[in-house]
Amino acid sequence: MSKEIVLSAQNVYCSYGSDDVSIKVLKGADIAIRIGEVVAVMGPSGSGKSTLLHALGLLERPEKGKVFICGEDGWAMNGRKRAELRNRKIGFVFQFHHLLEEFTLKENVMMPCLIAGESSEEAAGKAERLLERVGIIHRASHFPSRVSGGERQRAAIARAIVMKPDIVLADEPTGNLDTVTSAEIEKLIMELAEEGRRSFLLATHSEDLASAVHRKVFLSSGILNESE
Amino acid sequence: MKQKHLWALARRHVWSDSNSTVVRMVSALSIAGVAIGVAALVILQAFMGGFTEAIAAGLTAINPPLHIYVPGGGHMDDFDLGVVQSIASGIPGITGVEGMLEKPAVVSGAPGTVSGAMVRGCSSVGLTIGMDLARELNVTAGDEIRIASTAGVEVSGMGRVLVDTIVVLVVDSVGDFGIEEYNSSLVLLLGTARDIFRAQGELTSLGADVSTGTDPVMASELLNSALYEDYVGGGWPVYMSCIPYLAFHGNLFKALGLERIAMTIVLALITVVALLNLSSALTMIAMEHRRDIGVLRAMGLSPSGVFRISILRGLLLGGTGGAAGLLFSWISILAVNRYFPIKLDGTVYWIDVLPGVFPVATALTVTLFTILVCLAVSVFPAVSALSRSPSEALRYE
Ligand SMILES: Nc1ncnc2c1ncn2[C@@H]1O[C@H](COP(=O)(O)OP(=O)(O)O)[C@@H](O)[C@H]1O
Ligand SMILES: [Mg+2]
Repeated sequence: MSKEIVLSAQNVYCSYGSDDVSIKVLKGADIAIRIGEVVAVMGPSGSGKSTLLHALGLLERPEKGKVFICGEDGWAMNGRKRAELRNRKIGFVFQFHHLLEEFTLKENVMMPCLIAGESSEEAAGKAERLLERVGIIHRASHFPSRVSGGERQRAAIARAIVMKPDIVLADEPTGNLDTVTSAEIEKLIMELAEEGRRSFLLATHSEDLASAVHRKVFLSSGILNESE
Repeated sequence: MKQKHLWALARRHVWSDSNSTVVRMVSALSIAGVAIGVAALVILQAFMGGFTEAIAAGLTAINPPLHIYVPGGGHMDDFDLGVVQSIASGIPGITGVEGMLEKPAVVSGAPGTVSGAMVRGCSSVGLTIGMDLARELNVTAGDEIRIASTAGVEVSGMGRVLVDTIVVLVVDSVGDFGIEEYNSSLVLLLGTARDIFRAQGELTSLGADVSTGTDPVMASELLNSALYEDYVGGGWPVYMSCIPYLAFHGNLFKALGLERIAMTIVLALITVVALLNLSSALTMIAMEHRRDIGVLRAMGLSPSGVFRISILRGLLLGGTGGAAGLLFSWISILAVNRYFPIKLDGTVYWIDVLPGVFPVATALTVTLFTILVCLAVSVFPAVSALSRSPSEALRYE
């Protein structure tokens, strides 16, 4: 496997429900993402984009198939190792920011560092630099419920990249924002990918966001295709 | 993740301004429940224990810890005292044996006052009159009292006749003997008592003292069996027996102990209910933070981290409740003792103020039990948090 590939998945199958009433969502999805590449997964609502991202992000075990993160088989290791892999190599951005409501924006951004066992001071330093970078340092000590949707998503993005992950999985990161804010977030994501030579996999059905990425893949009938 | 950061997470989950009102209410109620349960148990033990101790202390204040008597009520004399003294000298822990003569008499003080009272003759310092009797007779130290006894017996030409004796004595001090019953009696020298009752050489019972640190029950058993052997071997006419003085009131202490057990069970049930409440609070808090746990796992929180956060929530609620209960009970016991003493009717309860004694052993047991149960009830939410995949937790709304 090439060193250039940060994430690859082979023949991934996922379904929901029990054996008799099961919905097959992924039926052998394959994907490979290179360093610094920004890829958009396109597909209508309900096509299985979130399911794919959860399987690739080691959050839900696929029925079948393999997921490699920087060459390591993510589902072939124990839970603690997998958690460590998520912590160091993968960043997540969710459609509904999913910030921790009881923590300030700064504390939210510090969280992955604290999980990694870093000291509060070290984590706070990194969080402040990133909040500065995404332009919401003035909101550092605010709670998520007290800031705008765009600011929340900026904090969520800062949180996703604070551990300098190799790949960021973003599930409809602009899905809940107005067009102006969406455009800003899109721009921020592209800049961050450029700056850190960091790979992004964006699930979206927004043509605007998709137009800026390096490559698009289409999810239909549980399979990923390079064209519609 | 560092332990202190796990604590911080758990703390914000159970208590933070951003929590829903429901979570904060549920947390507050479960803390209060545990606090009330713990405080109720500790306060109960403090006052029931205090009552028992005060009565025991009152009973032993003027009575030596070991009581030697003739079963059936027969009298003893100085010879018997000598026998017991020599036997007791061979028993470790017993420091001395003295004789007592105790009989009822009619006592009068200030003009127009008269009262029946127990008169006890022993190795006392002068004549001490119980404070209630002193009030009744309207006398203080330095006043004169008259003690009349009809127990004197004289053998004359007319046969045996009862003779009245009236003795005039000066009160040396007024004493508080701790227990209402004793405060209506008076204590004087053995020789004086023998004069009053015309009972030279006679004793009604003996009392033995033990050195500090000696268990009176053990000492009394040793002395009792030595007395028995001596009686069987020596062929003495009187059989003497020894019991710890408090055993006289054994039924009282048994009743108090039984009552204490019954009330402890009732209050322990309150604590159990509080802990059930805590368990449902933890389930509720776990549900409210299900998605947050999914997010934390997406950020790389390990399964053991998830487990520990759930357990720490339980420890936080239970620990805070337990600590609050201990603090509250400690302060209340102190406040009651110092500022709001509980007055009792001394004629009914023997003591007039109910003292609270902080029960250290009980407090430690209750706290330990509470913490253990908190751990136990935290395990279920912890396991159920781990049984879900992070993805499932993330989709939970
Ligand atoms: N927990 C679930 N149980 C049953 N069906 C589910 C569950 N989650 C998702 N699905 C179904 O799987 C399909 C794919 O869902 P999802 O991955 O969320 O799609 P997308 O993100 O593209 O909108 C949908 O038909 C959805 O109804
Ligand atoms: Mg989706």
